[in-house]
Amino acid sequence: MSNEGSRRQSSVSTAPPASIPNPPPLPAAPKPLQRARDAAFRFIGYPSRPASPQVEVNGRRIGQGSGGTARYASLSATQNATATHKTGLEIKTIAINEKGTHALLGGKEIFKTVKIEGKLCVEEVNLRTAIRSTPNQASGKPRSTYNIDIADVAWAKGDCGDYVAAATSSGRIILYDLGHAGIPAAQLHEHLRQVHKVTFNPHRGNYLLSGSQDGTVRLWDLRDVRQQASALQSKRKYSGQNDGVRDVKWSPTDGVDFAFGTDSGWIQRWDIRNLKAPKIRVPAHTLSCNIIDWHPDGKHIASASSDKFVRVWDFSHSDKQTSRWEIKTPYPVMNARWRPSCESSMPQDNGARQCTQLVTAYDREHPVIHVWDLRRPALPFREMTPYDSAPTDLLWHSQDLLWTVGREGTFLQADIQHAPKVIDRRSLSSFAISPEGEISFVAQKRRLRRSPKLHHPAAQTPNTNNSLSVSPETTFLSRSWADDSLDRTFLSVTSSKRHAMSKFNPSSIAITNEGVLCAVVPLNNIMDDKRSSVPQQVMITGRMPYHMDPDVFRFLAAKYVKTVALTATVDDKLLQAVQDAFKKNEKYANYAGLYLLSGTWDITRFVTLTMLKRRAEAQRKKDKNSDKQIVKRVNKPTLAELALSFLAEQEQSSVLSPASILPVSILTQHLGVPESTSNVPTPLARPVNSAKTSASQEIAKLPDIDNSEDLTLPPSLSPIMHHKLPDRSFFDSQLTADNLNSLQDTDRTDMVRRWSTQPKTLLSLDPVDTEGSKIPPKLQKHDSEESFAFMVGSTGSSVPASVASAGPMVSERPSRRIPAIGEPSDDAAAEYGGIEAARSDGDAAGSPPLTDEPVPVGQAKALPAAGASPPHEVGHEPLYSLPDDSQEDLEAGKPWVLVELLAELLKHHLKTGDAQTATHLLTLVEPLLPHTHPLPDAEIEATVFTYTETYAAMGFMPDEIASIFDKHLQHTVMAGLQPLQIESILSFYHDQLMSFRLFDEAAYLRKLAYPAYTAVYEDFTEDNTIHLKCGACGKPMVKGMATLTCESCHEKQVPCPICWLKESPYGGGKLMSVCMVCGHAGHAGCLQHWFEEDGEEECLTGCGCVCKS
Amino acid sequence: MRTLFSENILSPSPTPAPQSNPFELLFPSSISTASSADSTQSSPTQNEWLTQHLQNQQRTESETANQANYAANGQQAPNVRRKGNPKMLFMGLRRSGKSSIQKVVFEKLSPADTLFLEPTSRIGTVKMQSFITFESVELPHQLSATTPDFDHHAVFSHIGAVIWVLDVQDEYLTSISEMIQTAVFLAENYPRVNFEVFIHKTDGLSEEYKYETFREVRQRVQDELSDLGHGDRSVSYFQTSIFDHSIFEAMSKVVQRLLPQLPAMEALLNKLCSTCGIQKAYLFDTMSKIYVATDASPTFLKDYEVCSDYVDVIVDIKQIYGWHGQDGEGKAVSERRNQDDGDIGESMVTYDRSGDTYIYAREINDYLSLICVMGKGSTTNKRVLIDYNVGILHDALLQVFKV
Repeated sequence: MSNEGSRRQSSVSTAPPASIPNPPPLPAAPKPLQRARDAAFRFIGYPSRPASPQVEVNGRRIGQGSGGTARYASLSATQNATATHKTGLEIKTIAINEKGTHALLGGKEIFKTVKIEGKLCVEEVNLRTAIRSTPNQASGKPRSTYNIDIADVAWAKGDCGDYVAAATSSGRIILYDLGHAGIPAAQLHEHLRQVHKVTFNPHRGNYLLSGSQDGTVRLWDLRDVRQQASALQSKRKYSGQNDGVRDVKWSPTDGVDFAFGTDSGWIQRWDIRNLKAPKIRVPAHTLSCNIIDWHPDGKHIASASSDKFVRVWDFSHSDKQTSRWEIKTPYPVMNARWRPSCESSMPQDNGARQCTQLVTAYDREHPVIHVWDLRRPALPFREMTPYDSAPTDLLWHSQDLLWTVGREGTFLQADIQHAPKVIDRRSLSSFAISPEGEISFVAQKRRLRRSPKLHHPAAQTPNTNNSLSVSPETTFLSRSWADDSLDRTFLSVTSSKRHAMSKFNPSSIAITNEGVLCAVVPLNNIMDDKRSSVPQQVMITGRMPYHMDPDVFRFLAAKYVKTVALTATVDDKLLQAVQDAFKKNEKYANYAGLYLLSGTWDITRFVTLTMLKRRAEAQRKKDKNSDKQIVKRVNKPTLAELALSFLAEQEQSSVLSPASILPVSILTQHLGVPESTSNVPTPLARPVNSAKTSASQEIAKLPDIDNSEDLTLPPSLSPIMHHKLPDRSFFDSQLTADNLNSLQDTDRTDMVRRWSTQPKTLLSLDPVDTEGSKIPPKLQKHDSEESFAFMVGSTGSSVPASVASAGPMVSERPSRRIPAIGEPSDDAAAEYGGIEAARSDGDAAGSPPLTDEPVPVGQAKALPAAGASPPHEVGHEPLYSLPDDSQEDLEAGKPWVLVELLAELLKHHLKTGDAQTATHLLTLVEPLLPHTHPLPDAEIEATVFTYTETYAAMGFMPDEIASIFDKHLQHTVMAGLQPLQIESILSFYHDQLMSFRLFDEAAYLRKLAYPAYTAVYEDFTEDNTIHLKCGACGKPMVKGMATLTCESCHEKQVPCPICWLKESPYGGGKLMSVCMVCGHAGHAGCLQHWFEEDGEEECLTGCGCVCKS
Repeated sequence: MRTLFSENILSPSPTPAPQSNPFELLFPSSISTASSADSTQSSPTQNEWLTQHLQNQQRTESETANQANYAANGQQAPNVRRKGNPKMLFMGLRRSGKSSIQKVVFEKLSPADTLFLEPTSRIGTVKMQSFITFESVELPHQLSATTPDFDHHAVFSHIGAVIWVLDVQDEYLTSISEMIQTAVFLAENYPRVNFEVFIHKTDGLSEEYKYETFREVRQRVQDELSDLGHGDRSVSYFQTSIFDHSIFEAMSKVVQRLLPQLPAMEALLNKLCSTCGIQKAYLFDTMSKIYVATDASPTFLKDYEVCSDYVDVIVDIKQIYGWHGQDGEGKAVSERRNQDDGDIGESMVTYDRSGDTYIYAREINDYLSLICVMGKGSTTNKRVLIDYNVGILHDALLQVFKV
């Protein structure tokens, strides 16, 4: 309908709705009721126009709000007013009459009214049957076949209360008079496409709005029906967008305003007198806005959409705006309705009504209905699932009664008070731990009690209009109309006196005692008043127990001295360095206020130094008699050999047949030697436990043979140890081919017995006897299989053919080469070594074979064949442990044995989760430990086996594995520390460092752990980046070449030590090159000049590195 | 007569199209008269009507000159029927994705390959011959439409819709200002041309960001248009991405607005849905995967995606087993072939674990197929009913198009 047309018509029509503003009423003598109304208007607000008679109509109805908001159902507190009415036909939509007594159900095959009375639902008028039974139309023409497909129904209000409107998918709106149900009163056919919603004005019940898919909203006046029933034309047409209008609703307070939501997510507010443009137009949603609903205060509007949001907008002003509040729903929302306002529990509201809740229903697949409270939008307040599929339509009858209809054909009146609360199914407490060790904990008390009932006289007197009467015997306990959501669990009221705070002071409104006339508090007043009702939760934030202060942790991680540069021998220099390191750590612990910890460092320092001094002394003594001393070699296999034997074993098991020759020769070789050597495990030396009394033992006194013989434990011990083996499953699983299971299970002594008998069978190469092939591993475990290790190391495979030459080779092989004195063994230790050599420290300088050779007689069981350790080129390798494997127990009988002390300290600190202290203790002390307290043999075996597996899995070559064992784990194990434990401590500390983002320290720790402790570094072998290193502070410069300024110490870096320029004068531009040994860098051009043309060999920075090589 | 364009701006068609135009829908009832009366009475458009008329007269005079120009641009001028084909013009800043959209939608280019498209420098046309012949023109950015020396008549007078492509991952404020210029220009000179905005390249953006930018763009454009006095002009906004189905969905909506038959088709589909308990029914243009109509129930992208993929499958199978042969295209879980009418192609597939939800596809003709998502209400034992009703719909649709 065009503008002119409609204007013409409206001027003709008898009563123009509101297009002609009525003059304001005379201000004379306001009646008391009028005063109250005026007060109500003041906060409802009619900013743009004066009060008109129509407004007075609004005012009269203001307490009732729109539709059924002010209906009361006098329900008792315990009564459940749930009622159902089954039709069996799919119901698509529902409407309610003004009084709230009847429901109008509409669907494809259903169109009838139902009277609801208490729990009773009775069908009253079946419009569909009436229509079908009426053969003729109103005009007398025969009725066409009945095929209306109802999309929405509405029930007129006020004077036209007998009329109902049905919107159809064809675009027609059919009006029926319930008095003459058979004949359509009028057909309104102007929409071209489906009509989605029809709605009657709550104040003037004869005005009908219809929103259609064709993008228009049309206004109809039902009073015209009597005059021109056949061709009723719309009064107004509102368009202005091209997508379908999904929902249209009249404003509950302002009789001339309405709003609609469209398919593309816009919501618009219009004035029916303005055809041109909307008052407000908001792009509310990204997807189709399925439903809108005015808040009872008339200012706010909720829009719900398929994009899973319910948003609440302030429509009282037309500023560009964003949503005031929003609820994120779990599913696409198809329906949403504000719950009728309830009495505010704020005492200062004087019983004004408030509304913060709305109900949502979702798309077809999600049948649940949620009641949300905006004051706690994160979770639904109540939920119910009345049907198998989502309800097609719903509306509130009164505050507690929700009417729903569904595809199953059931009309349901649900008492929402009896719907379960979502929070009752949720845990009310939760906690979380931050990586920095902070813990947050939220808890709430669960209260089963109902909401605190606010007894207000206005609420208690049931409305006389109340038509939903309940049988008198059930009304003994009246239900409170106060806010349902206010209970301790969900929301609770913090009572406060803050009348002055809120701009809006509801108490200024004179709420009269007329019962129904109580205003609705605007939503923003409730919502902005944060303190009025909040979830009452207790939250605790703090540090975890046993967790260090992050600042202290960072401080110590940065400051602690991690390692001491080891020297080849125990000298004053080393002692000094060790002392310094411990002293520093003690100092830092003291700074950090950890006095206990600093005490720990102090004690550890003392014990360590004492031990070292004794060792130095013992060494000196030894050196003096070294000439006379018969060098006796320990028969004990090194871990490397053990590991290699494991590896070989695996290979053997895979290549069984040729390998079976190998054991024979070895066997024969070993059968000649005393039985105990191969069988008896390494002595379990636990002098502190066994010889506590020998405190008087001389420090430097060499342990005599007897004593060491005592230490040689009988073989019966070993089976016990063996059974304690933690990793037996490894053996079992790995060696099944060799039938090792049986071996594992049999007693060791049995095994020994069998040894003596085996050679024959083995020599006969009888395939039936499988025992023979398993034994060699055992042999290798206990006899130093240098030959074997050598072979593996040299050829990479265990070729048994070379076994024959093993003997000579072994004998030829010189004893273990050690780093010569003064020979720089390490870059780091180079300075020490060099300086040391220069100063020729007295006791150290004179003794060439310092560390390894002077083997004390200890437990030595001299074996002719096992004379030497495998060769290792330790020469230029860094020292990972103090190269002192003196077998004598210098600490025997002392009150503190360092290992024991360390173990106890570790135990203590690990109990409190303090990996930092544990790690630093370990890294400092571990290299200094003597080899006097090795782990039990079985444990060693298991450990070695585990690590061999791990390293092999990591892709190390067998010789690499051997060297790892030799350099790292050998010492650790011999010192009596379990590498697995160390590994776990280190990796835990590493994780802590990473979580504190101390990457430098973590990197250093990884460097320390490489390559022995794979767990620490294995995740960090990839995705590494290379940064420049600051020359001043040693920290990486992340920003790179651009600035050449260190971020940590703000030191300006020299671009190139040769030219000091940005670009090399010798060509090559900015290209840098770096020496991979010393790490010093320079322009590639400059370096080339330096090394090539100047002929230099060493690093130009004077670090002593022969870069050119 | 409800026409292609919004109804209150009805200018006489410059080419009366002597032969029967399949896209002119004849409404049999009084609706047509009502709506035409309704639309011609709109007073503010009277002047526009006149100006339009004048322009049209001028246009016929300069037709020949334009034609030469047109031909130079590689376009087929002589038999362009104004109302015949939905014709869309893509505009937008450079590198906003205009060519990509065209290639993906009309030429079935793989979305990943659009990375290598050269920047377009000339006005180019893409035509897709299907049930409806889609024609899309791309206007390179350097040809500013609003400059006076630009021959906009040649470009805009044949266009049904202008699609402004806005790269949301780029700085879009400049694009918005240019878009508003263009929209105002179009509103003043070519008011019957629909204006659509594709907020493009939304893939990979977070939901919040998408919503915020979408809302901001819509609000800003709307505000500016209102300030410039064109607030009543309806602009549609779509979030699109060539990497999912959103671009097809948006193109479908654009095309639908250009089809005069839409209300009729929609009403038919509504009827079908309510009669047979169909959750959602789409009328697909089989080749382009654009749906020309759907019923009025709320649309979910998920449904469209499933149906569109299914159409893809059908097309693939058909290309293997013959386009014109009377073999149907059944596959997947249940296969049906209805041979009673010679060559009715239909197929069904269940895609739910429960087996309740299934898709039913039926060919209307070679280019048009009906795809229905069926739920619990319409199980296979209602097949007779469904078959019958779909048959009715089939005939009705053919009548609507009177091909």
